[in-house]
Parts: sequence; C-alpha cells; structure tokens
Amino acid sequence: MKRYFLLSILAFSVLTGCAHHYYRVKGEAVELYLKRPDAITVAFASSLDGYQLHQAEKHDSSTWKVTVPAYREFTYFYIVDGVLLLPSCKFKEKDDFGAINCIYIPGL
Amino acid sequence: MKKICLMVCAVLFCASLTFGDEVEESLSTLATEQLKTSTREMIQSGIDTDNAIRMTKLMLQNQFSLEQALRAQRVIMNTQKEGLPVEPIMNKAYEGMVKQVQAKNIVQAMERVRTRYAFAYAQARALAKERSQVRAIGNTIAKSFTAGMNQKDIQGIMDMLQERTQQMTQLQTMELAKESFMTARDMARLGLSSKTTTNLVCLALQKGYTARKMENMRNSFMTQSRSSHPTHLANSYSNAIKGGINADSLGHSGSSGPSGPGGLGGQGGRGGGKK
Repeated sequence: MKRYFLLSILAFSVLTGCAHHYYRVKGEAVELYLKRPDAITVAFASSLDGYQLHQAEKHDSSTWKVTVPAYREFTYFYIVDGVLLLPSCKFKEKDDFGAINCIYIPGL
Repeated sequence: MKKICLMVCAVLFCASLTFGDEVEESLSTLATEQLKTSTREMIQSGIDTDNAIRMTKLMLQNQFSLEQALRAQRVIMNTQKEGLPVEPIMNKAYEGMVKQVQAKNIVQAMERVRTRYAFAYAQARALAKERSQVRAIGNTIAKSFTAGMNQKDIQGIMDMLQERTQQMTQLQTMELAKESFMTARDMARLGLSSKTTTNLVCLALQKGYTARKMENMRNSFMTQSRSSHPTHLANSYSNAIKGGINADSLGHSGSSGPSGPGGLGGQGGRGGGKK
C-alpha cells in the first residue's frame, strides 16, 4: 500500500515536473510564472490565439514568465525543453488527449 | 434593381476568386488539388480564410495523411453546417498538433468535441428559443463536459431544471439554467466529481433556489475553495442547503444555522486543513 502511495507521488511529480506555478494580474494583463530552474527553453500555448507557441522569458534564476491579456478565460499549458508540462493549477479541464489543461478565469 | 443584383453578383464572384487565389497562393506546392478544393469548400461554408489555410498548412506540416486532413476539414464543415461553434474544434486541432499528438487521435478528439457541443446545444435548444441564449447555455454545458461532467449527470440537471421552470417565464428559465450550468461547470473545473456536482446543483434546484441564489452559492463556493478542499466544501454546502440555510449565508464563517455554530466557513476550513 505504502509502495503504491509513493509510486503515485513519484508519477505525479514526473508529470507535473515538480513545477511551482502561479500568476499575478496586472491591469489588463496576467503574468504567469513557472518555476523551472533546470529548464533551457519554456514555451507557453493558450486558447487565446489557437495555441501558438510563445517563448517564456526568464524572470529570475529559477522562474520563467509569460504575459498575456487577462480580459477573458483561456486554457493553457507549457512545453518545457520540448516536453509537455502540466503544472498544478486550481481550475482544470480534460484535454481529450488523456491529459489536462489549466484554465485561467478572470477574477478568480 | 437589376443593376444592384449585377453588382452583388460581381462582388460575390470577385470574392470567390479571392478565396481561390489565397488558397492557391498559400498551399500551392504543399497540398493536393483535392485538399485545396476541400479548403475552398471550408471557406465557402463560412470558415475564416486565414484559419482554414492555417489549419490546412499545420496539418500538412504535422504529417496528416490526405484522408486524415480531409476528415478533419469535414468535421469543421459539419460543425459549421449544424450551427455549432467551430472555434473549439479548430482549437482542438491546433492544441493536438502543438502537443505532437498523432493525427488520427487529433481527428478523433475533434469529433469528440463536436459531439459534446452537438449534445450541449440540443439540451440548450430544449430550454432556450433565441439563438444567443442557445449559444450561451450550450457553450456553458459543453464546457461542463470538458471539465469532467458526464452526459447522464448533465441530463439529470436538465430534468430538474425542466421540472423547476414549468411555472416560470422564459427570462426566469434562462437565468436559472445559465446560473445552474455555470455552477456545475465551475465546480467540475475545481475537480469535484460529476456526481457530487450534480447532486449539489440538483439539491439547490429542489430547494427552490432562484438564479440569484444559485449565483451567490457559486460565488461563495469559488471564494471558499481557495482555502478548503472542494469535496469537503461540497459536503458542507449540501448539508447546509438540506438544513435550509439561505444562499446569502453560505460561506460566511460567522453564520450559524441548522449546520451548527461556525457555519460553512468553519466546516470548509477544516476540510482544507486535512489536505
């Protein structure tokens, strides 16, 4: 039982990449932060523009930042070093490919 | 009159030539004649030219076979023909390609999204008459599905709504339906199971919640979910609604009522602490 529990935690950590993720709303934009000190490239894709990839900029030594409009809700995910990353987030939905997407909802 | 007709025909003819040119220019060496023709059909069916071309180009870059590309375009055209929104289906294609999902799985996912919207809009049409209302409720139902609600549970909420709204005006019906499905969507997005979400929304409907009360419940639930586990919160809300606590009091930590001192805020907080 204990082994299954540890394995589940390990599997979750691998999937989420142990990523710490948060956002801050600044006026009409939202800044999304992803903590991945080991990453070489971080790209962000959202339903705002048909999932076009946008390179995230390095905010500090361990955190990456993307700024997008905050006026309407959108679903999003990251591609870190070419691999899909599912960060932990409060609002989620299924992506129809066996994974999930995060949802940004203005005001929440 | 004759002049106007001729001018309209000329404009339409020029427009169709423009479509043709844009497709030819953008896909000249990339696509087969069959795919170009299908892309033109997409545009003529009302799909935005840039989107039709972008999607086709991306499918070719992502190793879609001719059959798979044509099938994906057909899904979009059918969606448009049925009066369903095409954006979620096109977005699904883009999303799948960015995630480097296999072409056949992308087409299947597009079909799943179309099926979800078809069911959602059919439900919405049973409640709403105006197109804008059908769209608003249909989109909310479809998003509830995407968040994890299942068809049986959506149907359960629909049945309860139809029972509750028999004596209501059309406006009241629309408002209550909109708020009920928004509540279901948001709770499912927080990770609540389809069954728990449905039970809570149906219980509120059974207890005579109005659109405003439903909205209050949703807002306080969302606020409290910042510090409490959604499942514990749902149990607390369920007990409180059964006990007759007013929607306006849900979520106020100081409120007292049939659920006991401390009210929902206290109970929810304890739930969150167990995480």
